[in-house]
Amino acid sequence: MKNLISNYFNRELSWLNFNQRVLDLAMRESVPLLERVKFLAISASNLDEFFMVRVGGLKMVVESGRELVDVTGLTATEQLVAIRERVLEMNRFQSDCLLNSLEPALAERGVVRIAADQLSDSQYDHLLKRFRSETLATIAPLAIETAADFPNLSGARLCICVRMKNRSDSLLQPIADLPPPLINNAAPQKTDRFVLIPLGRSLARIWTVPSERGYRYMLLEDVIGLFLAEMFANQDILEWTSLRITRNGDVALNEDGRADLQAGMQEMLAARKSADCIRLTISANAGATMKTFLQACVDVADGEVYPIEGPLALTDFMELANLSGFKELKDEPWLPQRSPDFGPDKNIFDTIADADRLLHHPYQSYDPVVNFVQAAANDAAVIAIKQTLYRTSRDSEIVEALSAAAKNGKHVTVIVELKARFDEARNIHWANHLEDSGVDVIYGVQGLKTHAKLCIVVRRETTGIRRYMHFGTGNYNESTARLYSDISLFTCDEQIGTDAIHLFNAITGLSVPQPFEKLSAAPINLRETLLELIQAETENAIQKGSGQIIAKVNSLVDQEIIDALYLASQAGVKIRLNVRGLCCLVPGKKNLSENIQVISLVDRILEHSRIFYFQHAGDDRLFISSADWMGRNLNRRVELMIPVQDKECKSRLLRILKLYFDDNVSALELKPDGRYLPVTRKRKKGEFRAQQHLHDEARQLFQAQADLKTTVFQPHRR
Amino acid sequence: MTFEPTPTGENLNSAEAPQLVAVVDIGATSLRMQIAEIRANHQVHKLESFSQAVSLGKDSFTKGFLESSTIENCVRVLEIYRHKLVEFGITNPQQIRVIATSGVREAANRIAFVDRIFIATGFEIEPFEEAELHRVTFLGVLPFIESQPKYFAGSTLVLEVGGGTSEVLLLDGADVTFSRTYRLGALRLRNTLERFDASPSQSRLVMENEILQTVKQIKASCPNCNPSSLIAMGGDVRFAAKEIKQTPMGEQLMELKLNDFHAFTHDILKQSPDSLATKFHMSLPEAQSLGPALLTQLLFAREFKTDKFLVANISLRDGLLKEMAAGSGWSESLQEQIVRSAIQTGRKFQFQEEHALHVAKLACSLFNQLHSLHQLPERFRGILQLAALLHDIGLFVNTKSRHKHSSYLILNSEFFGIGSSDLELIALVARYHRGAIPQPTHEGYSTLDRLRRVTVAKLSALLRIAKALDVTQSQRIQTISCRLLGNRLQIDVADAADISMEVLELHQAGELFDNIFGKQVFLTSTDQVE
Repeated sequence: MKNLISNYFNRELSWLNFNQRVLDLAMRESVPLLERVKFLAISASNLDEFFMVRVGGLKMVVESGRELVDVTGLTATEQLVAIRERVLEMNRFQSDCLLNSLEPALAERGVVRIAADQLSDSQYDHLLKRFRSETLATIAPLAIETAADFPNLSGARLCICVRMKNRSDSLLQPIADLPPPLINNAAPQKTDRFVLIPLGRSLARIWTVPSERGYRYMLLEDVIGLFLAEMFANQDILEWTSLRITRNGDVALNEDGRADLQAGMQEMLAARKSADCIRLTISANAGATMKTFLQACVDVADGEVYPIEGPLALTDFMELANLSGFKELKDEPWLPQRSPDFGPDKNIFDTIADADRLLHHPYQSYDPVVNFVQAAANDAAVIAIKQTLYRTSRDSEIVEALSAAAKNGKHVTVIVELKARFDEARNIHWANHLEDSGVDVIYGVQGLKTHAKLCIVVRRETTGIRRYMHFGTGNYNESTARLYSDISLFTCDEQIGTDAIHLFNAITGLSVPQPFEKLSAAPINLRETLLELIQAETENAIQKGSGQIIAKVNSLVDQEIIDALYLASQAGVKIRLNVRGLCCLVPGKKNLSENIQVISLVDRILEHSRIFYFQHAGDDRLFISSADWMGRNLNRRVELMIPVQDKECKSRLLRILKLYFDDNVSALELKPDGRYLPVTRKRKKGEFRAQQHLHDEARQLFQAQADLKTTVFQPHRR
Repeated sequence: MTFEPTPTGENLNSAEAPQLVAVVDIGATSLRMQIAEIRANHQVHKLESFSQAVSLGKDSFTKGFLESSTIENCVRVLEIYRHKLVEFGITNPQQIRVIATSGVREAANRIAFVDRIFIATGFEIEPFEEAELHRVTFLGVLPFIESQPKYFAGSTLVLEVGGGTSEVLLLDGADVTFSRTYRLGALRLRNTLERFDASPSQSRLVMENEILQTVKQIKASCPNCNPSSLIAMGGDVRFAAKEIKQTPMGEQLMELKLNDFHAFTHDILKQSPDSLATKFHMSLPEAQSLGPALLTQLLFAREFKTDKFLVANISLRDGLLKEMAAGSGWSESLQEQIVRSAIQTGRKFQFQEEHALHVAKLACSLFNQLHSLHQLPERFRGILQLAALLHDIGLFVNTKSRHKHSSYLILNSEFFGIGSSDLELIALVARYHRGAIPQPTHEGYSTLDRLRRVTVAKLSALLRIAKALDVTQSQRIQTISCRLLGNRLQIDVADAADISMEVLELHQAGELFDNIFGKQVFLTSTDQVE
């Protein structure tokens, strides 16, 4: 592989490596079974997105005929070949994981997928009844005579294709002349007919089968396969198969996922049909006739067909992972702990005015963030609230609070990012709701995604105007705040407030960007600030013999940042990076990056926080950020980097940041050859799992405060 | 603005709670707004800054008038700003100052512009003149000079390069020795280049030539000036300082090495405005003015051979906010500068200096003691003082109608920091120090609005009394004590026993006072009573 001699890893292969790390969790025996199912489902969902965004983009590059070569020297075609090779391997791994590892283990614990021939009569009757009453009316089989008949199915939807023999009394027409590609060895007989049954998203994939013990289920496609005769009476069914197609058109608004591939291709993009099929996933059991027919219908080359052993669309197994009951097959719940800083009897603004406050979610509850907006909505001193909303949850309390604030006469401005990937519809819904309440809704910035997470509450206090801010590394989404690790910072620092307001005014078009003193924002000065900070470490290492950088990001792709880190490493700066996902930096390479260590931590909580530390000649600088170190974040998104100044917050954050590097259970270390290997456990050192530790610590922190309360008498006074 | 044409935030600092104020500055390349709070001890606390690019300067300096699209763009921006002010509850005209500089001032259709803005947004743009600009600039740099008198021991050149004009102040210590505004602006320079279609290599020469012409004019006006420091002001040089030093500008002056500044300017001039705009995330008009503005600063420093090149992080908006915060009166140092400049004018017209100074002193004393009666903001004491100092300069022309001569001499003189609107008041107050009392038929007086008419009348009434108290020109009445007794103003003097001349003079001079305030003036010597 070319990339092994390069100073960078190819981003696509690095991403696939990340997905493999997720998938590895599905194979890890120490992980509870249903959690393993969840990781399998996540790896499948990730792969779907990867195809839609990245593979689709690369295919367009190939079609454009341009020789776009990535930093590792690979052309788009070479990358596609490498991706296919890796994905086929991953698919095999996924199937093997499900069929040979998870299902047998689950069966032992009473969770059994059963095949049609294993059904008892009563189970059959139950399914038939349910099929007739719930399903039959909602599915619409389509006869496919020519490729042109093939419907423009929305991507990622599971389908069943049935091949049947023509009968003279059939209402179905025999297939017409097939287009040339279909005329080959496996060409179907002219008497064959094909019927496509798209399976809507509203249909459950997992069908519970009544049983006396344990939990029995069947998959939707198997149920339909079982009742095909019911649907097509008097037809000779030759075979049926499940299939999925992935199209390139699902990413119309998701330009930043592959803007690097689209540079200069605007005209071509506009001219071509974007919704081409880029992947056909089909059951490995499908016959050659069926496969050839489908391949011709969706117009994909052999290299775009992915045969799968066992069930397709493993994403849907999330339904199984969320099966109620079976506690012993799931992680013991980690309930977010209340932060001792934010008591129910404390005014949240007083709390923030006393000192900056740092929260580490999901170990610590997200409630203070919600309460912050709710309190602002009802506080007489509040005159304005300004907030960004990127992806928010259903029935978001924050959205409700913002709406209530507007009704209470506050000036509320909200930037709703409609372009947030796959969340457009939900975002439009909230935006309309907010506008109806009198909120000034700004629909993002042309050409930029607003990814920064900030909420500013402006209060008119007796001493003057004061601004209270919440900055986050995660979205204002109460649901994901329980699943993702993120940092919240509350502050009322005046200069940060001024900078934050100026950023907000710039995004909302009230002003050209005003100079920032403490905050750094993309695409204005975030990249420059990061490069300056890295360069400062380099200079300190050269002049003073000491420099250190520790950073936690989800992705590290940006070449300029990577090159700066290489230079720093060569100057002697000790660099430790915690990069969950894709990482194009090659660590530990002689004469390049010997002083750089990269770990990746994939565990039950999705690592999402971005934290940066620079030693700065002893004047430690710590930041939280919404931005990954990727071109899209630094060039094409509105992102923020916020200094953490308060001494206590700083020391806690630095401790959190360093702690991941002690993990010897879930952390993997990236080697110069691109492999991720378990961190070597030092002798005499016991197991240390960072996420477990953080959970325990948050619990202890709250408990200690609660204990303190019980030993200090707090009399009620009138 | 309901009370007066040049409000300076009267009554804003009377309440205990911080007062929210805003300054809108309609410049040649951008329309800026600063929202701030005036806290205890007149401290200005800035809250939010806004800036939007406009092409007022481009229109004015090249076409001579503002295009309707430019005007409508200003309306759009000001509507946004107005909305923002509502959010802060800044709705009282006294909380807002809107000023326009050369981009508007030089446009043939400026009146239409001002009217359009008023109709569309409710913002009333104040006429803001060069003399006022000097005042604001002086107030801005004064704290630096006062805090380090040794550092600024020699003379100091203050240069602010704007889009259309450059403002030059020369200070000797903390005293202003020269102030003028030149039609040398960054945008104007840029437009010159475009007009001549100068090649990049010629551009710099063309600009240098224009800049050096101005330097020559200044040197001709102040042949002996030899400044040791240059305090550079303006958005462009602030930006340069920040980039060169790679730190945000604080409150203090930032000293730059001239070599560094030279290298930076050179680098900027090599790049096109488009690439500067992209590189530094600035608007195109800002990028267009950056190079010419820096070159101007650089050539001034080089031509005047200043030892120190300092950049001040202050803007016109800061100065205006400071004035609003200071409340009504002029600060002591400003008053001093203004009085110095008035005395220089007085000397030019050979005035009776001792008498003039004494009348001014008595007038100020009356103003202070009778505040409950006239209820004029503090700032008008300065107007009265100047009118008192210069009331008799008309004698230089002719004894006959000398008060009228005083009036037009004042109106056609320049005083540091005094704009034409204030100058008009000073001239009228001086005019009415004797002769006919103000009449609606009198030129100048008749065109004033009611509030300004009343102000002229009140101040003239006080000046007449002050003048009467030194009718002997012997300065024998040094201190006075005023008491308001029913429909009488009782003035007691303790310095002189024989005040018959003054009493006689007051008999006539008090008539206007009686007309305006409804009180007869009585003068008594406490010396005599005892």
